[in-house]
Amino acid sequence: MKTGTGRIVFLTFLGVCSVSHVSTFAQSDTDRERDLLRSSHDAVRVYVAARENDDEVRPADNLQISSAYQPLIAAMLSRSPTFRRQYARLARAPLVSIVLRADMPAGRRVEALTQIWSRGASGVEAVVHVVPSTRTVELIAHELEHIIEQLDGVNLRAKSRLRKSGVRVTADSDTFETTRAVLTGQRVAREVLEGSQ
Amino acid sequence: MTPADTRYSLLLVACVATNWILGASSNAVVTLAQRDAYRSPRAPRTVDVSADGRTIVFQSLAGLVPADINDRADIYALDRSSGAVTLESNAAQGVEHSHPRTSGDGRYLVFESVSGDHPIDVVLRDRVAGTTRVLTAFDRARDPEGWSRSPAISRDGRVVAFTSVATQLTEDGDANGRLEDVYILTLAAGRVTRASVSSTGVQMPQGNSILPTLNGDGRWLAFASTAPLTETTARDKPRRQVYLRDLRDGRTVRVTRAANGGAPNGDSSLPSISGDGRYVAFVTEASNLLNDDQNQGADVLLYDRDADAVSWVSRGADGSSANGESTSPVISADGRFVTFQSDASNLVCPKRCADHADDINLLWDVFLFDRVSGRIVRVSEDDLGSWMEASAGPAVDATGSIVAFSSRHPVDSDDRRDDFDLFVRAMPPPPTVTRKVP
Repeated sequence: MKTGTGRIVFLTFLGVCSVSHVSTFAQSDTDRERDLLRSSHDAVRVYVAARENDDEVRPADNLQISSAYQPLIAAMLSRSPTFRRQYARLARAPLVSIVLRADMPAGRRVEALTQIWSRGASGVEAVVHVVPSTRTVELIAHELEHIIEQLDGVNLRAKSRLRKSGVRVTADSDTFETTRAVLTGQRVAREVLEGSQ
Repeated sequence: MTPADTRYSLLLVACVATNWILGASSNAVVTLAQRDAYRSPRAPRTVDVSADGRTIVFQSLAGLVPADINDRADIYALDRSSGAVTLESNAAQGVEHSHPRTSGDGRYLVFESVSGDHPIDVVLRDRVAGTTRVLTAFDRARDPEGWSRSPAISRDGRVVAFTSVATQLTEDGDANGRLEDVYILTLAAGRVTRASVSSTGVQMPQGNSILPTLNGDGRWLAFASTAPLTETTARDKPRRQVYLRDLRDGRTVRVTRAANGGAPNGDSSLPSISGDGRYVAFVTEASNLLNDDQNQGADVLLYDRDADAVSWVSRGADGSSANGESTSPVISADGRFVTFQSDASNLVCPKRCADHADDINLLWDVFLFDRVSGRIVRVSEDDLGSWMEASAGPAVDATGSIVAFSSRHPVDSDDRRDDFDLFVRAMPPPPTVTRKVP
């Protein structure tokens, strides 16, 4: 039975190949050469979602990490698929440079803060400040997601005016908070925790 | 065996392999490189799908075949049944092509072509005969500054619509001079007529007319215009309106009317017409075409010619306003489905969503609206069930089975480019509905 099925499959393939080939035999050599140059069977690919689980993490040249956080970032990369995805997204944005610092500018009473400067055609510079705490993993992922939002061109101000848009103005009225960054940070923290158990 | 024979053999092996891959997983998403790093998510769509979903025509900056030696955008066609991708435009240096549209069977393509300092021309490609013809070459010879763009072709491939600023395309003069008008070219007769006119056949001295779209047999034309083409609009504050013109009977009606019968308070544009000409999907920034429009942004609506009424397409899953903008609608030829892009997050799941159903990405996503069930499903999701990165410019086949769109999402784990590529998705069959949901 298996042999019969195999024959049918083989003959079907042969048939497909023959049908595909007939039209080319009907043409002149010059036409065939031209058609070959103008066609491809390699251009279309079946899509497979990027599974950062299986992916070798390549260093992101545009991310400068404080020495205090380098072991932690290594752990996050090894344990969290979501963080690997964030990292890969930042790494493939060539006009972005990010500095991750383990301190906070004077006068700011928050655990984490990201300052982003658009340099026009030169790209984007970002400095991420995260004070070491029990929530460091979540906050790093959270702040990096805010940078990715800017790379994606999200208009936070416009979105904050819409109902239940996932963007709100914070209590001090000069920054925005997004559901996307909050949930991403929480997800990375959960994955890192589960990965360590 | 000659080198050419060797190449044919390799081609044959590749053909069999691709057939096997596509055939074995008919619901698979396939990707094609567009390599568009500078695309704005609001940019015009760069893809079209034939009625049977077999042929995908698209614009790409990538050199997908050996003959494509320039670094400009070219027009390609994917035959989904064989997996073959063919170059359909002239890929010479300095020539660029855009805005591909196809006839229902994928045989005829129309697109824009720009060469060096020449203005934009409209090109017709016959994929079976292997011929390419510049449809506007003769007109430009008479009017060298007169560019043309935005071609559309009827499903039967007999009629082409396009816009032009040329002033000598017809013998009756051009009342609005260098402003853009919509023209119809009947290919068999080679006859060009101006179509952005009133029901009395009058061209207005003011206003641009843009973005034409034709129904299956080329009888019905929808387009957007700032020209006051009906009596009502002649009195209103100038807005871009969507019009529907019956090319056979010479009647022009305005699709965009306020719910109270008054004037719209915003512009409307980007019409897409069903195969029988009954339905027109379009985008509007007006908030008074329907009641309860609270998002202060662009929405996608659907006009039903038989009912002479509009209804929502981009609507929250709970019936509330979409909490973001929606645009770029394309309606299936059977009039049942509308694909569009939106940055609203409440179209599929309004609250208490499952992990991957919660649309938190704040990005343009691609959706498919089913007019029969009233439901919206997301199209731009990866095979892990997550929302993809920014996705835009969708097109759909005649029955809502195949949707193609551009996305910044990586095509695989090795995709390190931060650019837009093409994704083609076979949609699952829609649910059977016995009752139309209002």
